[in-house]
Amino acid sequence: MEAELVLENVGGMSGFHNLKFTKGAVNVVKAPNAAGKSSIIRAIALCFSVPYKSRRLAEMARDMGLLRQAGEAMEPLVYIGAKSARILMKFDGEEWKLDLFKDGNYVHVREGEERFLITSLLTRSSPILNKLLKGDVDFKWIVEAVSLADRYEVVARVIEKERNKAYELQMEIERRINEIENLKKEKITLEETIKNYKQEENELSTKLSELLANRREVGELRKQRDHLIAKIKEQEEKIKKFSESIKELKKREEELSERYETKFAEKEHLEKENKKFLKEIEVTNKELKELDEDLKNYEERLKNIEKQVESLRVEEGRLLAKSEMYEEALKLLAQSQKVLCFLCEEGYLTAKRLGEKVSSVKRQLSEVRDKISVFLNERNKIYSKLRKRDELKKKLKELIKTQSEILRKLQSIEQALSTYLEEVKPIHERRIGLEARLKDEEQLLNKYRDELKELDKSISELGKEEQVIVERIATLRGRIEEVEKQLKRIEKMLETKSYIETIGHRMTLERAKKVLEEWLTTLDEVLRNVQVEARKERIMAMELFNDQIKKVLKDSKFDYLDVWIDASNFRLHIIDRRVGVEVSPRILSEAERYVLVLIIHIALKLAYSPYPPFLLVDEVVLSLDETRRRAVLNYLSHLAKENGWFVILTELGHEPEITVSLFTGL
Amino acid sequence: MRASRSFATSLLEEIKELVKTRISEEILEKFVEEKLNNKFKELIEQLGGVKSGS
Repeated sequence: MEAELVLENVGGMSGFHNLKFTKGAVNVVKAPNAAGKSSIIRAIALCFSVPYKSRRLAEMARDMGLLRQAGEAMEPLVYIGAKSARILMKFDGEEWKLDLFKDGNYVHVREGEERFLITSLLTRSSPILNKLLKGDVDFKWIVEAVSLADRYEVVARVIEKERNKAYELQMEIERRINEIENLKKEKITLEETIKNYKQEENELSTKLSELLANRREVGELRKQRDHLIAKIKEQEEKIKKFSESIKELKKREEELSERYETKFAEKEHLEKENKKFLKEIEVTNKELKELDEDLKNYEERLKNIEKQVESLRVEEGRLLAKSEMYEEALKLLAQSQKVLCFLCEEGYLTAKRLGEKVSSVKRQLSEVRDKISVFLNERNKIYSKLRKRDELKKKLKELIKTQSEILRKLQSIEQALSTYLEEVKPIHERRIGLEARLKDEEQLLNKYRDELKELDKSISELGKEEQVIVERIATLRGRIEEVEKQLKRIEKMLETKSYIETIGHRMTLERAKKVLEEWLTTLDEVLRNVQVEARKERIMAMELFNDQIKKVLKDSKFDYLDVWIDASNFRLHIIDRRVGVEVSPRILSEAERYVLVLIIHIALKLAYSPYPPFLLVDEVVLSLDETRRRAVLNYLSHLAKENGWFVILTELGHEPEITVSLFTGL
Repeated sequence: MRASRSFATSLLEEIKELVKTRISEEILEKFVEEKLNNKFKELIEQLGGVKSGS
């Protein structure tokens, strides 16, 4: 069994190159330096492993020179003078073809096994080799990449991202709640300040009135002033009442709006449900119609079947009696040598003829029974359809009942919504009317205040003390106006900050807080489930690897090493059993390290991706001494035979062409 | 609590089915994002959130 590889413009090799490999054997590719040995190995690996659906494996393909790195202009496996490269591998009646373009796009005829990169390709840039060279024994990444843990980690990252977003929103809500608390405190302080200013203003006005009462010339002015102050007080009282009424109406309006919003959300939900049920009713009705069509004239059909079966049963009885009679006659003929033939309604029959009759009757019996069975099947089918029709009718009844219930609820909600609207409309109109009147009343108050200012100005000219009081009153009024402005601004801010918007929905802060608590519980639950699955996958992958590597070490006779991945931290342990101590991969000799990496790859391949049956080793065994080289090659040869693998090694050759020879044993 | 557990269980089952096929990481991410987004919207609507502008 052979594999045929056709390469067109691959790596440093222009034009076509055709190579043949033998199954169940170690194929040695020999060529001088820079002739394209590594390109052959990498091209086969790429053809068998694309497309990369895991980001980690895609990055590994770039690091190993199978695909270009970000920012690189050219694909490493496309010949510099060509627009594209083609890799075609045929084996076991299968064809694997990959067209790789200079711009990084590729077209493949069949999906490869992306884990082939970790399990079946060993080059000097293999990540396992490079990590062990640095003494890095953290094997969690391998365990994750060969199992499904990587995918679960991707899911976990998405959930964590969502959780962070929810936490940020939760923090924003807390911040706003604090802000509102502070604004409310500030509002109370401002209201207190206004109250104090007004009290002082009243006291000063009283004092001013007393002073002015003593002056005859200002008697008339004093009267006017007292009258004006009374009017101002009355107006302020009026405004206060209006403001309170508006506040009450606004509160009521907000309460009704909130109830309306809740009912509206409920209505939307029920409408969705209603749609779902209507769809289901439609489907069930359609099914029922089809069944009704199927069951047309079923009573007549059943009667006909019963009639046919009855008639066939009579025929069956008749044939059975005939068969028994012939068999009895045969027995009699066998018991007595004297009786040579048997007399029956058909005349005298010989034993041979009787035998033929028995066979014929049995054949007829079987035909009759087959017919009965066909009719009975037909009858059973009709009964089963009748049962199904009854079930569907029952289901339809249930569905209609539930849908009617939904409609009833919807009607009640519609009624409630229209009641709310009717209720809120007069309140809203009344509030708007009151707000307009409040504005008028405020304007009137300001007019009175201006008049008082003018009056006080005239009076102030009459005495120094009075002037000081009047100035102070004017200052106080200015401050009151300023603080009132601040108060209005705070009230506006309080209204704006009491709501929050997320994914196109508006909610009060309290509701948003409740939603987020529930949402975070849900996300935690999902994340926990996903993390448990990821852990299970890692543990299973680790156990499979440990079992395989133990077997490979034993079979390859390198079992003076004990190698395993620790379940607690997924670190690789290497014990030299000859001295009984754990060794770091850094202190292993280069040859020992190559052997170890080869063994790890073989264990991974046996465990995770035995297909496609190729193991690719680039120039690694070159560095081994003769004893180890012999041991490794013999073991690879044994593995190739046992598993039907194509083991492909590259070695430095002295001929100018690329040649493939078989390793026949050392 | 029961609703969140039931959602978590059914989502995990759907994820398991997808993961088994070694689905592309990008598609898997989009699938989970969409599922979570829909669930969050559903939760907001259940608890009385109102679509902006409605």
